[in-house]
Amino acid sequence: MVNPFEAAQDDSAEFDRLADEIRLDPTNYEKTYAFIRLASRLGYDEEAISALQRLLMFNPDLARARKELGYLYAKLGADTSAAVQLKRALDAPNLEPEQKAQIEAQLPDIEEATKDKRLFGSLQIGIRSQSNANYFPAGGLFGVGGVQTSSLARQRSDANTFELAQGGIDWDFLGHGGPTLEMHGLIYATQQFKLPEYDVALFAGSVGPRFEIAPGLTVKPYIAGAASILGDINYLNNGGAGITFRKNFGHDFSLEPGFEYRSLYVYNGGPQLWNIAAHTAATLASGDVYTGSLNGFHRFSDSVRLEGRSAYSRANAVVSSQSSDAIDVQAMLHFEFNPPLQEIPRRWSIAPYARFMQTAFDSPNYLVDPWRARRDDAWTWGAALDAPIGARWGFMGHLEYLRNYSNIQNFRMNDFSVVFGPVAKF
Amino acid sequence: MKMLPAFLFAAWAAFAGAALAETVGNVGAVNQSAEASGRKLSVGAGVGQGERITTNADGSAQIVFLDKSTMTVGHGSSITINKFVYNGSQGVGAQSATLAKGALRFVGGAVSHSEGAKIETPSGSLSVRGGMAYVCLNCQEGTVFASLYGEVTLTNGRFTVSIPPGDMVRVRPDGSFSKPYPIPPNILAMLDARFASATGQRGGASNPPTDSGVQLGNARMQDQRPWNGLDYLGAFWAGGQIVQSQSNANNQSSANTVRVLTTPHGGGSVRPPPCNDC
Repeated sequence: MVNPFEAAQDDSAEFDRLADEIRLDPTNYEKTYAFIRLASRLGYDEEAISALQRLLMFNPDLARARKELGYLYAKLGADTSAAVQLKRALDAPNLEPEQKAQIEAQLPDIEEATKDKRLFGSLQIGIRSQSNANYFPAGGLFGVGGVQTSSLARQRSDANTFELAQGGIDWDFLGHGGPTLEMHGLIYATQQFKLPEYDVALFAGSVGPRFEIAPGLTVKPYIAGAASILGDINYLNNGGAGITFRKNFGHDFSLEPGFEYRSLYVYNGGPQLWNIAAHTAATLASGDVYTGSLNGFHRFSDSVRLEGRSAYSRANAVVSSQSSDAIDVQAMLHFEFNPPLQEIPRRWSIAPYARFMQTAFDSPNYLVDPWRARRDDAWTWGAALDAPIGARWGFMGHLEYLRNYSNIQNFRMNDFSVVFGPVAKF
Repeated sequence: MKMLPAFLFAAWAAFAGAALAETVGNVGAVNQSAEASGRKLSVGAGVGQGERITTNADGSAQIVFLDKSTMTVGHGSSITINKFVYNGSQGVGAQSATLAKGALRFVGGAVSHSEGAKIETPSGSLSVRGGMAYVCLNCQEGTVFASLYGEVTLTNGRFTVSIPPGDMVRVRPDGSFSKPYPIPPNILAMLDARFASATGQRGGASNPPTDSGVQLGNARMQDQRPWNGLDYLGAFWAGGQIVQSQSNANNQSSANTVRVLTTPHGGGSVRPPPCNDC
């Protein structure tokens, strides 16, 4: 069993040893390449850049070294330098086709990053399969007014097709160095095979300027909104505003605290029973939601990075049984790796993730259980795959298991889902 | 005669001082002509504190310091290594150099990441903390200071400017600095050309590296805009939450119906009071 701490110490000692050796014997290329590989892996990018610059002084036509130099410049955010080096490498007649394909896959994004107006987007079409598409309780039993009963309904598995479009524009509207207007949006739609009443269409967007208020520290006030259709009727709509701060600690670590207010409007239509809206047992209800959040990003190494999000929300609905406090914690660990074929120009990544969401309602819902206020502890575990095939397209998918541990049997449920489909990125 | 031993001692001390001048780095690559304190530079040769390195119109040299930082001296340049102190065990020290003419490319190492490095020029003093920078004095585009990465600040006593990564600053004739602006690709190419080996030059390597011998692996680049997985999942989770919310209500309605149908008449109703504002 390798001790990670000892392994890191060994790497560091090897890095120092190689650095000393090639300083005294700069034309020992075998050790120079070993040093560059190790420096890149350990994140000593400037040291690797120095060694590559030296190799290019020995041989300016060393296209492979020039490509690597461009790659390291891009990694550090020196996009113009990266583009200059990568274009020169691309023009070199002696660079292998797969190396050129790697450059061609990344160069448009690197050049885009140097512009004042930066567009980005993706479109995925795919299939999702769920073991419990109607989120039916695991035991099949319900409390009705505190009395246990069964239901005419039953758990239904189903599959759906879906379309997911995400995109946006970041615009330095006052020119370079000024604030950036960030406009981001998404459209998500599903078509169930057996349960069309659960077809969803979701539209969401946000817009706001991001200002740098200190080196590495930005602030972004924004407005945001969303609308949705469930079945064929309007369901959840919301709108609000927020403010978020982002502090970058170098290139590999950032924190983003924020606060947001949204007004929720849930359409109160649909089938009615005893004059009571069908949404009485729903978790979503019209009202106000206040959210404090803290998001983070950390790149542990060239190929491992972590995304994390946490939020506390207070939802005030018209009735106290639908008002709630919620805690939401999400984490995703990305492992990036080389694809199985030489011809595939981009990295693949597999990303295990987990989410915990606790929702505690203020008071009991008398129609369900007059003595206990509902409290859900929902756990989600999964793994996502991003597998680019070409420069601009590939496949994405995820496996996910959701389990809700509610204190009320009506809401104790689990669901296993699989999502997969081709994706285009631009 | 009494003066002779003192004179011999002084001469020996001066000789020993020069011979044992602490090596602060080595020559990584060199295109002739490049000299350090009058001696021709060669690949791997030591460079000491206080040494002045000069290059002619064809010359260039990369100096690799003990902290792994490098200074590449461009064509037609003169630079003096004022100070280099490095505590390897703690990764701290001090680093400063004076560029009297020509061009310099600096890539930071341990010292610049801790205490910062300083490059003095006739136009101003450049502080580099953990980064990469270019200086080009009286180039065809004038005097230029550029930052590729890290915290780079230029000051001349009267003016101070912070140069963001990817930006450059020009020195105006009155000694003031322009506002930082993105380095145009043609200027960047011009700067790089100041340090590049010309046709036929090999940086001092008798046997230069070739493409067939490159051992850099085949690792793909990091994506410029890394995949934001939680944003991606967020759409599925939001859609799922909408369905779950409504299906909870639908499932409950079905259970309510069963409860009504199975409740004996007069045996206690679960029928709730009307609720028009739910």
